[in-house]
Amino acid sequence: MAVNKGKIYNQIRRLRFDHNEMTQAELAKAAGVTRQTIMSLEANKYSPSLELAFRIAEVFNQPLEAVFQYQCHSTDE
Amino acid sequence: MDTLRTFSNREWNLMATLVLDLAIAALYFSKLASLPEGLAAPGSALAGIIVQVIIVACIGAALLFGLINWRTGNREPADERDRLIEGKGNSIGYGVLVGAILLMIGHLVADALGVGSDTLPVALSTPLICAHALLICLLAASTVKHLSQLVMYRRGI
Repeated sequence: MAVNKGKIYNQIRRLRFDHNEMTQAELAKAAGVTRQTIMSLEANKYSPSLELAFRIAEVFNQPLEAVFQYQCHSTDE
Repeated sequence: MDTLRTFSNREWNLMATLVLDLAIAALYFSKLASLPEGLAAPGSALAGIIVQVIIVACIGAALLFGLINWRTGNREPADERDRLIEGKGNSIGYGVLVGAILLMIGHLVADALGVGSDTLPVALSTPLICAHALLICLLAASTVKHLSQLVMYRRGI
């Protein structure tokens, strides 16, 4: 059976630097999460909820798909 | 050591809880094992051990958590990732607790029926031994819960 295993990638690190070298702490405060969560997101160790993804995109004033990308890997199991 | 420097306040607290749980359990069981057999009043000796262990646990927790909060600053409010990790940790710990208790019930039933009584590792023959077996189940569940939360914080979820 074909199973879709995907992973969410993001451009948060690049966007922070494009926004006046915004720090992780500043982004965390603006998005209402801890700095550890931003670190985890940048390292692709955590996939955010839809609400958090929208909040981060709003901080950067970008559409959601400019910040987060979903990469789907089809595997046969 | 570099890994330890990147620990957040929440991760340090988890680590401290883990270490404290195991240290207190080791202290309690070592004191219990050192009780001489055939005591005139085992109840009062046991109560004495429990009071001592509670006092050591309170002092240890105050010192350890005080030190952590002094070194890393106050804990930030939990966000969605913290709540997710807490929930997953609770779920894993609950699974371990249910599994351990089911094993214990099976053991008690096997004891009562006399099935494999010569091969069972520990005889749950008295209420006190049953109480300690339950304590070990709770300790195992709590250890697995905190350990899994630490792993999720470090390796991601």
